[in-house]
Amino acid sequence: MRRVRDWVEERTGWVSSCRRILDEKVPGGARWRYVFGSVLMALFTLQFATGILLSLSYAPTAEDAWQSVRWTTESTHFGGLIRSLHVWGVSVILIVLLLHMAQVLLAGAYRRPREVNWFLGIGLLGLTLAFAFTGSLLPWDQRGYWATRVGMAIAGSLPVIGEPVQRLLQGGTALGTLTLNRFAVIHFVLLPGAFLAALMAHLALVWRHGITSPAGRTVEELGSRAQPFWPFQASKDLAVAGLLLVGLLAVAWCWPAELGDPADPSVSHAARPEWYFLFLFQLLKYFPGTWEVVGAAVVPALLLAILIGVPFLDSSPSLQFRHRRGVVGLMGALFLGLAFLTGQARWEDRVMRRVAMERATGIFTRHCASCHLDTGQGKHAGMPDFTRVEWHARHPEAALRRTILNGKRGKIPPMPAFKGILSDYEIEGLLRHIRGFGGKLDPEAPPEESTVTSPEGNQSTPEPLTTEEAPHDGRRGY
Amino acid sequence: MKRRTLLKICSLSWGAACAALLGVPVLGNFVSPLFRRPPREPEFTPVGRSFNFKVGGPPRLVFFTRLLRDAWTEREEPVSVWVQRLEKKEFRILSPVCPHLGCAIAQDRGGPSFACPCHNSSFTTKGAVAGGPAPRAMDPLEWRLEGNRLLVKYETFKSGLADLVRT
Repeated sequence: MRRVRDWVEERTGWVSSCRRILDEKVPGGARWRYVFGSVLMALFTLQFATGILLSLSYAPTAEDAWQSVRWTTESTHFGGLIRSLHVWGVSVILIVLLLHMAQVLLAGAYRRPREVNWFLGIGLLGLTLAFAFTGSLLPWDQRGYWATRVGMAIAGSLPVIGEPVQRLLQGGTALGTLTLNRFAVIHFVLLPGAFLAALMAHLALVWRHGITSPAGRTVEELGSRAQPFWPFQASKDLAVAGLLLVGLLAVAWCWPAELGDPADPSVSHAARPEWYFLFLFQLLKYFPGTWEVVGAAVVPALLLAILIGVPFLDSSPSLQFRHRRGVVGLMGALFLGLAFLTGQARWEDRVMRRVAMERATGIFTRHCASCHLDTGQGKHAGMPDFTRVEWHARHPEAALRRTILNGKRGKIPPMPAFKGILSDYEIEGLLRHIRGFGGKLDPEAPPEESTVTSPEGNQSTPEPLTTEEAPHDGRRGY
Repeated sequence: MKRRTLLKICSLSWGAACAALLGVPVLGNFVSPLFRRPPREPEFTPVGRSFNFKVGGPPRLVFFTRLLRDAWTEREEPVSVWVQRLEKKEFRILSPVCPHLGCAIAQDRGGPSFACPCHNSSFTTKGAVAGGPAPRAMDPLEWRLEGNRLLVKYETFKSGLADLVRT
């Protein structure tokens, strides 16, 4: 073992380099608040591993993408868990990224001579968001499809460069196989390459400048309390990284990532971006018509400019926090603004949903009661009886949603399709109303669409919803 | 024990434990092809009418398709077999997949014997090895006559072995 080490050391010097990095002194001693960088590295490593595994059985065509993702989650060992880890991982990474930035801001670690590392950090944040945006389209489900469609329309609405940019990103005039291929190449090849390069530069600069020392200490004090990275800082890094990873595993295990219905341009879908893009989504509501460009480009560009400008806004040589109040206050205000917009987007959706739910009774009376009756028991033989608990147990929400959207053919009066007539929220309200007839089932909790065999399963009712359909339900992660 | 040593041991074991926990799904997913089985038992597929083959005639390459479940898709894969009619109701059907490394066996300069174009394995008209690196004779395939319909059970065997082992 030693001889191998010496052989490698003599030819490369890698052993002593590793030792130098591990023995690097942390001025003032190890601290919990220095852990975020290492934690991010651990999270990104997992993201790369799960991403590579997912890409092994993924086909970036409009025909195949959704099927291949479903196949991966259902027909490979731990496939659903791997996908859930990858999907949940994005949210965890963004939260830790915010904490990392906050720590850098509070410590003043963006100041001379570390400005370039602040810029690289912003670049890494941008690349992470680009990963999230391109990745959300890849399963080609309703959510990803519509979120991308809106995103592309926003890009297209920019003056002059809008249309060419949109076409280059889409690979044509509309979302389709070429878009998927582009997004896949960006997500699998270009972004990882750029990310790794930026990360290397980021780490090299951390190594060059070291950690920003805590304020208000003399050089002697910092020196006497300094501790080597290994094991003092490393143990803290490992503790937090391990806890977060295990927590992420638990979350992914308990709440499998949703794979929505396959992308369908004909079905209305209340397109909502992921939580980390909600502020942009909300911003657009404030700028009607030709002012859209302000919300879509000017404000985000301004935000980016402020972020990049932070090292120039605070050029005081002092490490003392009170000299940095202005910049920290500005960033705090910006953060609160973004948090407010995000919260507002959530709140407005909740209100819309409640209103639609309240309308559900009226909708049922107008559209459904002529056949299903106000009691929900059905006018004709062979119609479902909504008051039966067993019927609810056999019919998952997604299947009911499909029947409402697509209607139903049959001998008993056929049911019209409500695609394009009812909004998403109205259908959701209607589902709750229908569940409400069943009395005993908790209307808030849709039943598991397992193969519950009901005692009267052989009844000759022309069921449009066979159990074979059930696995198509988007809620099944794996 | 020194505080530093204790920290080192704790850190390493905690890190290893977390890595192992996450390694289970990651490695488990990675090795799932090792546990994947061929999707279904091969079925007898019609390849032609018996009267189209001359008794005692030279081997003929017959093309047909088989339905294949391939990951999330189902597709028709074109395949071929070498058919010889020995007697009125007696056939010899040989797989064109070379038992050496799986190339497609062709006729040796107009036949009736066979040769593989990749590594020059050669086979007699009956399929026995006549030369070259092939470890076994050409793979015989099961066949059946239903009236005058000739059916064959198309399957593949592991290459490079002296024995017939289904893939």
